[in-house]
Amino acid sequence: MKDKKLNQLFAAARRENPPAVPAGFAERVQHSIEQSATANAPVITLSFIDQLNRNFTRYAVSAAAMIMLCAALELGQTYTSDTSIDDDLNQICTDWGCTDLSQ
Amino acid sequence: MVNDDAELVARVRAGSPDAYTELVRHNQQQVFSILHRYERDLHLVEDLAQDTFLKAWRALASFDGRAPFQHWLSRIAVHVALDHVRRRKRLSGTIALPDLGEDSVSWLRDELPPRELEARQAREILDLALQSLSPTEQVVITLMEIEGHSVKEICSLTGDSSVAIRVRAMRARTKLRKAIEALETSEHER
Repeated sequence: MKDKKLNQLFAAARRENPPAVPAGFAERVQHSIEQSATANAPVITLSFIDQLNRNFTRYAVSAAAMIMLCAALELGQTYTSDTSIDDDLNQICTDWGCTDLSQ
Repeated sequence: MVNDDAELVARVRAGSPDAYTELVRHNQQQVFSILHRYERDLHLVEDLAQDTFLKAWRALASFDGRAPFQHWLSRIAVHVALDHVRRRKRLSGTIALPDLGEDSVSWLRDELPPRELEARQAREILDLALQSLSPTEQVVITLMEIEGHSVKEICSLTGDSSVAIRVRAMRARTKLRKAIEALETSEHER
C-alpha cells in the first residue's frame, strides 16, 4: 500500500514542468564571471630582492650623487681650510690618546 | 548560431568572450530542471544555476571532451544541488511540518486506491517526506525515481559506486515509506 502511494508520488512529481529560465540569465552569468575574474586577479607580491632589482638604477644614481656630493664637500673644505694633513693627524692622535706621529 | 557545445567550448578556450554566454544559453534549461528538483524557490534555483555555470567555467580546463559537455555540466549541477541540500539540512535540523494543502491532506488520508495526484501536490508531500533522508539519499532517490536515471548514470553523476547507490536508494525508500506513514498519522490527528 505504502509502496503504491510512494510510486504515485514519484510518478506525479515526474510530471512537474521545469521552471522557465529568467530572461537575461546567461548575461548575468557572464557578468558574474567577469566580476569574479577581476576579484580573483592575482596580487603580485614582490620580494625584497625583486624590489631592489626593480629600483636598482634609482638607488645607484642616488648613491653616486651622494658620493660625489661628499667628495665635493671634502675637496671644498680642503681648499678653504689652512690646516695641513699633519695637523689633522695630530688632532686625531690627541683625540684618541696615542703618541704623536709627527714626532 | 553555433549548436555544437564542443565547438563552443573550443571557442571559449580560444578566448572568445561571447562563446560562454552562448554555451550557457544552450544548457541553462537543463541546469534549471536539475536544480529545481531540490529547491522550489526560483530565486534560489537561479543562484544555484549561476553557481553551477561559474564552477563549470572555472573547471573548463579539466573538461577533456570524452563525455558530452551536457553530461559534464549535469555532474556539476548535481554536486551543487547536493551541497545545497547539505547546507539546508544543517540549517533546518529538525523536520518541519508546515500545513499541507487540503488536496494533499485528503490524498494522504485516502486508503484504497489513492487517486491521481497533481505534480505540485506530489512535490509538496515529497519535499516534506524527503526531509527525513540524508542529503546523499535525497539526491540518489531524486535522480533515480523522479529524474529516471539508471544506477550506472547515477554513479557517473555522483561519483559513487553502484553498490553505494543501490544501498542508499533502498534505505531512502524505506525512510520515505515511514515518513509518509508519519505524515498520514499527523494529518489524521489534525
